[in-house]
Parts: sequence; structure tokens; C-alpha cells
Amino acid sequence: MNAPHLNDEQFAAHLLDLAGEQAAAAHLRDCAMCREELERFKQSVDSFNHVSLAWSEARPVLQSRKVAPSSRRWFLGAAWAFAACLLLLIGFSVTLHHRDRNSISSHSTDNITHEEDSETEIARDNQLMIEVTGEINRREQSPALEYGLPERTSATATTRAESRVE
Amino acid sequence: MHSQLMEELLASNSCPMNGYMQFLMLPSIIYLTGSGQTISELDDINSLVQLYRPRLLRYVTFTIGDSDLAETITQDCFLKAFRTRDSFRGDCSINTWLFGIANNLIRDQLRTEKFHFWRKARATAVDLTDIASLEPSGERSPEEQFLISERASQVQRALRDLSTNQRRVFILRFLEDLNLDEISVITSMPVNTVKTHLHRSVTAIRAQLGGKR
Repeated sequence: MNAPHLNDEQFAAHLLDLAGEQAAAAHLRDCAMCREELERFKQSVDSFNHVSLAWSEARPVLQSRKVAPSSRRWFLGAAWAFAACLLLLIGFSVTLHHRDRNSISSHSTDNITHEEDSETEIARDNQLMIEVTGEINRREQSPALEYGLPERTSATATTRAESRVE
Repeated sequence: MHSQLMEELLASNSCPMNGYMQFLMLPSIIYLTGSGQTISELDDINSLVQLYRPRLLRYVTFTIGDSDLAETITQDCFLKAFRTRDSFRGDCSINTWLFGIANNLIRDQLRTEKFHFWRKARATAVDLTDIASLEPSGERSPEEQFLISERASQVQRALRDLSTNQRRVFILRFLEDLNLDEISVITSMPVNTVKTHLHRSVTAIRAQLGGKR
């Protein structure tokens, strides 16, 4: 067959199903070589279509977009936990601080009471001793007088008792 | 109207049965309002990803030639689609809308200096040679698998030599089976420009495959 084969324009136009390519269609009916070439072209593109789609379908879906929210959720959870811990820590320390202050204040109050008690006690003791001394020194008729002895001894005892109280 | 939607959805898949099955599995992905406008349940991002991710990932990967970056762009595409789902008016299919978003993201990425730097620094080109073996055993003979793998590799090599615009229109036309108008919407190029890129890409691939001139 001596007829010229399909040129690039005709070949492409025929592949693209463009109108006005009657000459190309007529040539393809007669030319086995061009038919074969066209068929080979289509088969190659079909093979590429098939293989490339298989490749694409075999590619795993990346989970990064899914991971991102979950990691953010994890981060949010951690942040909340941290905030809760911080709050607990602050609450605990504040409670501890208050308790310490209360215990210190109560401790000082106790001390004061103790001091007050001891002073009162001393005073009471002193009073008691004074009373005791007063009772001892109460002027009663000494039996020594009956025998004509001087009263000096009792005066000395009184003085001694007073000095003890002081 | 419902049958039109079905046809539209089926037309968006080069393997009609597969698309139909997916549609049946996810019947709530599209529904109609009283006014007859197509509205998608774009709130269900998982279904969206399940249905459209493989094709979007393939489109992005073989357009930019970097599988790692393509993963990121595809994810960004779904994220953007989810965030701007209110702006989807239903005047095109979800497929076209998603590919349009992906195309804008690719364009943004190609403009950055960082992309060109990393493209030179590393080449994470897709290796398709082992993909043919992913098929279940017994479906094809080893010879057929080898043949398919070889043909696919040839086309892949040919695609690498094309410009980005030629690559994207070629993939959209011959792999995604979209018509010229849809490609024009997705790529924001006039239909005649799309035709020109398609002609050039077919010519280049024909030459790569050992065709006559």
C-alpha cells in the first residue's frame, strides 16, 4: 500500500474522536499498519491506566490527618490533667498553709494559756502560802507565856515564813 | 434526573462496573434537592476519600512526578474540599470539582521555589514495574503481566518528557476519560488550548512508543 500513513495530526484527532477526520477513518480501514499502531497505542495507554490505578489503590491512606486531631486530643487531655494537678497542688498547698497557720496560732494560744495558768497558779499558791503563813502566825496565846518565856521565837518564825513567800 | 446522575458518576470512572459498585456501596454520596440541583454529601469525608482518592492521587502523582508530594497534595485537596464544601454549587460533578481543586493545588505547588529545589534534590518517581504483580494470581499469565508492565513503563517514560500542562490534559483525557469541556473547566484553560496540549502529548507519546511520523 503506497498511501501515506496517518500523520500526527490525524492520529491525535482520531484518538480524540474529533469530527472531520473522515480521511483518517478511511485510511485506517485500508491500512493494517496504522490500525495496528493505533491499537498498540491504545493498549499501552490502557496498560498504564490499569497499572497506575492499581498502584494508586495500593497506596495506603495516610493517617496523618486523623492522627493530628487525636494527638491534639491527647495534648488537650494532658493539658487538662496538668491543669487539674496544678489546681490540686495549689489547693493542697493553700490548705496546708492554712492548717499550719491555725496550728501555729493555736499553739501560741496554748502557750499563752499555759503561761497564764502558771501565773495564776503561782498567784494562787502564793495566796495559799500567805494564808497558811497567816494562819501560822495568828496570834494565839502562846503556851510559852504561861511559863514566862519571851515571844521572840514566834516573831522570828513569822519573818522566816514571809521571806519564804517572797 | 437520578439516572443522569448515575450516568455522570459512571462516566467519571473508566471502569464503569467498578464505579457502579462504588455508587451502590455509597448510596448517600449524592442526593437531590427539591429544585433538582446536584448536591453532594460532602460532610462525609471518609466516603469522599474512599471513592475519589485513588484517581486523584494518580492524577497528582503523574502530573508532578513526585509520589510523596502527591500524597500531601491529595490530602490537602480533600481537606480543602471539606472546608469549602459550602461553595460547591453542583453545577459540575464532584469528580470535576475535586480535580479542579487538585489542579489549583498543583499549580500553587509548581510555583514555589521549594518544589523545584526538592525536585532536583530527590527523585521519588513512581516505580510501576512491580505493580502488575499486585493482581491476584491466575487472573493473568506472567507473560501478560510482563507485557502490561512494559507498556505501562513506556507510557510513564513518555509522560516524563512532556510538559506539566501536556501531562495533566493527557491524564484527564485518556485515564480519567473526561471530555474536553470538563478538562477545560478543571485546568482553567480554553478548549482550544486543551486540544493543542492533547495533540502535542499524543504526538510525543506516539513517538516514544515507536510510532510512524
